[in-house]
Amino acid sequence: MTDSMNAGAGGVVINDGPGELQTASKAGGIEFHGERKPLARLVIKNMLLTIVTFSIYRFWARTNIRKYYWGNTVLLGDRLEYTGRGGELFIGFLIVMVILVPVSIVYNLLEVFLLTRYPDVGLVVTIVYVVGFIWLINFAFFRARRYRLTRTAWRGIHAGQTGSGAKYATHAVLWGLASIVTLGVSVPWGHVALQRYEITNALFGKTAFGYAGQAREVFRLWWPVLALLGMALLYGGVLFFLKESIGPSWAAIEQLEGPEVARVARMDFLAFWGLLLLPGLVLWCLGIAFMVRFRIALIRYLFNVISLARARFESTLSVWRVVGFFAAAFVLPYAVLGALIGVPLVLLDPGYSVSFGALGFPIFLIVFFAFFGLPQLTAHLLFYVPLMRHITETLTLENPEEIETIVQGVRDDPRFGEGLVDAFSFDVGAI
Amino acid sequence: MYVFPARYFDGVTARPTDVAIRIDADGVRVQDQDSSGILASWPANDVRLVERPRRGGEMRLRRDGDGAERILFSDDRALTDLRANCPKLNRLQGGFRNSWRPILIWGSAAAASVAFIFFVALPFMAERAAGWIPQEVEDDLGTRVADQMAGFFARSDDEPRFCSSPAGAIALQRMVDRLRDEIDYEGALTVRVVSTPEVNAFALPGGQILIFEGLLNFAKDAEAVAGVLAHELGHVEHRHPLEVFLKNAGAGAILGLLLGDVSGGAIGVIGAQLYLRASYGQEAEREADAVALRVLNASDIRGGTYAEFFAQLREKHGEQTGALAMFSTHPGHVEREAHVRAESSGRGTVLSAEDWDALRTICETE
Repeated sequence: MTDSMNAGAGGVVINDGPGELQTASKAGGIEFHGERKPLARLVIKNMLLTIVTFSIYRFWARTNIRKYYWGNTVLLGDRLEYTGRGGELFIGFLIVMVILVPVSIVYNLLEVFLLTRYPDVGLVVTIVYVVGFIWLINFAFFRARRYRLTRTAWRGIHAGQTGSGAKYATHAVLWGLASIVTLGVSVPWGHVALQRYEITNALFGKTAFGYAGQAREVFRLWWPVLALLGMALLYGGVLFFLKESIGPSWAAIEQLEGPEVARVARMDFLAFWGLLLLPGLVLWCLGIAFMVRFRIALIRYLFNVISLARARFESTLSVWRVVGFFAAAFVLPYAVLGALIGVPLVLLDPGYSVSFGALGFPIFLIVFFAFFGLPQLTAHLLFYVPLMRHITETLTLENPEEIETIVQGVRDDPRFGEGLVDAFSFDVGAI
Repeated sequence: MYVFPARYFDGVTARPTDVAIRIDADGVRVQDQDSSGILASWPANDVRLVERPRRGGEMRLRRDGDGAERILFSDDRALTDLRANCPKLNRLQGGFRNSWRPILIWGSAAAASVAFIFFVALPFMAERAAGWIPQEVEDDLGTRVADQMAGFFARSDDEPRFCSSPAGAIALQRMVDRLRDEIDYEGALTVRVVSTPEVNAFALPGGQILIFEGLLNFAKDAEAVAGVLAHELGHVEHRHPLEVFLKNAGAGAILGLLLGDVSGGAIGVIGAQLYLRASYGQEAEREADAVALRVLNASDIRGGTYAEFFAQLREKHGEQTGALAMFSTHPGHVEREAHVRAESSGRGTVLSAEDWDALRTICETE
């Protein structure tokens, strides 16, 4: 096995990880062999074809990208295989156009009708509408995962998914409501319950994945977020209610005579409230930072509580490195682009709103590339590739030989896929 | 016949077997390494490559059909032999063969669904929904759209967008007062002149009417302007602007859905704007024309120069399609000119000569 396994690696060596991890993953783990250059070529080709075909090619584009990522993810020396086809995604989309669009139009119209006819129950109508929408999104995601899993194979053994999308979506909605009622305290319990449903319903061959997640441990990551954001909100709320009694008010300044007096008063106003709001702002920013840490730490946590047959994973993923990838991929390019496009626009054309009228097509192309092309390139080259490398480098597998005991299951694959998710435009990763 | 080493997965377990592969005209035979027993044999027509092979890299074979078995090898000579013996080696999994039928069926159903929504459901529902929108909401909407449109056509930010020289404003009000009682519309009516050379006029939701300065200069006399204004009042009476707005909103949403997440926002917005350009359509224009004639006749305003206006537009049309884009969706100018001439029974004027001068120069500030 070993001979051909080495050949299977195709001569691609990843060498930025620490030595011991390298050996550990070589001995029997997960590797990612994706590289930026071929991926960039693929992304650009996809982009051009998508534009030329009025975005119909997007289904095949997504399929190509998945084939690349799957085909470069190596488990115990063998690559994963993505067996999905663009045509399946396209048909899924067509089905949604036939069924979902008329339904959603009626649904929207009903909302407008009820809101305008019975303004008193407007809030109820809106809540029902939003809840229905969230339900549908969760349903769509569960079904899309089923499609993706059934199109994933390793050594000829197919993955799959059991469970019911409706049940999952209902639970997701109920947990969402619970987190509102409990002011966010129940979030870890909801997360673990939903993730347990996802993972234990995911199959590889006949074998379901195991999940040993504990809400208490997720809560350990969650409470700083809750505390910081809660304190920030509380602080802001107190200031809001006390604003009349403790400091200068804007309305009083408006009534001051003389521009100079008013200007000084205005500066005073801003300085006073600015200083007073600062602690709240700091708390809020810290809360957001911990939220980011929470999200990423959950990825690591997932790997550590998931099992397949008797094989276990152990991840030492670094949260701050992932934050770094994220910033490099999604923050930096926009800062640069904003400066490149925004500054000339302001300098050349003061006071004008951007319209396609004057410079027409060239501007459209630039804007189109900026909003459609660049995010895809940076997402793949600067985020997903480093992320996949980092995940696989920091992942070790215990009892990997157990995976080889897995047996092909009964295949019950959906024929077409993912239309609903496409319709919701939430398939953000393009993977 | 060529024999080479490979790894074989039987499609039942994840455990690899080291095997020897034989390739000949019958296909591929999978044997134990010591060539003692045959584990599997694939007919030549069923052998497929999983993905495009790279020279020197590992290659994967699958068997057509259920497709769970795999043969993995890295041997370029074997690839050459496979190419020689297996005619369908490069055929895609499933392939177009299996998907053209559902694509055709669902594709035509989707096209029918979209067409039905665009041409039947959307207009019908926009008409219905226009009746449900409360007046306050419509007024608010109209004000915002009017400001936006005036801003869009403004020459630059420092010039006034809406013209209101005192004498001109009085003259405009006089013209509006002459016409407004003749239409069946309860809501507020706001008629304003926008400073832009374009020859055009718009009716917007909430009884907002915009007349472009270019139209005042282009018209031969006050009666021609009154005709245009009466036409726009016709749109207001029929609540066309709100319907068009609702139709656009729906069309934008559907276009966004059609084009997907990739380009969603941008193209959806552009599509909706294109749709907006297409304006009301011929039937609505005929309805507005009918109201215009009714209003002109009831107010005893002569329609001659309004009719001539169409001839003027026809002459101008060739050189200035862009500015007249809106008028181009109107029923044929010749037909409309003849129609106005035939049906017009008014004889009087709408404004005094001084008022007309004041209106024409409403955008001039002294």
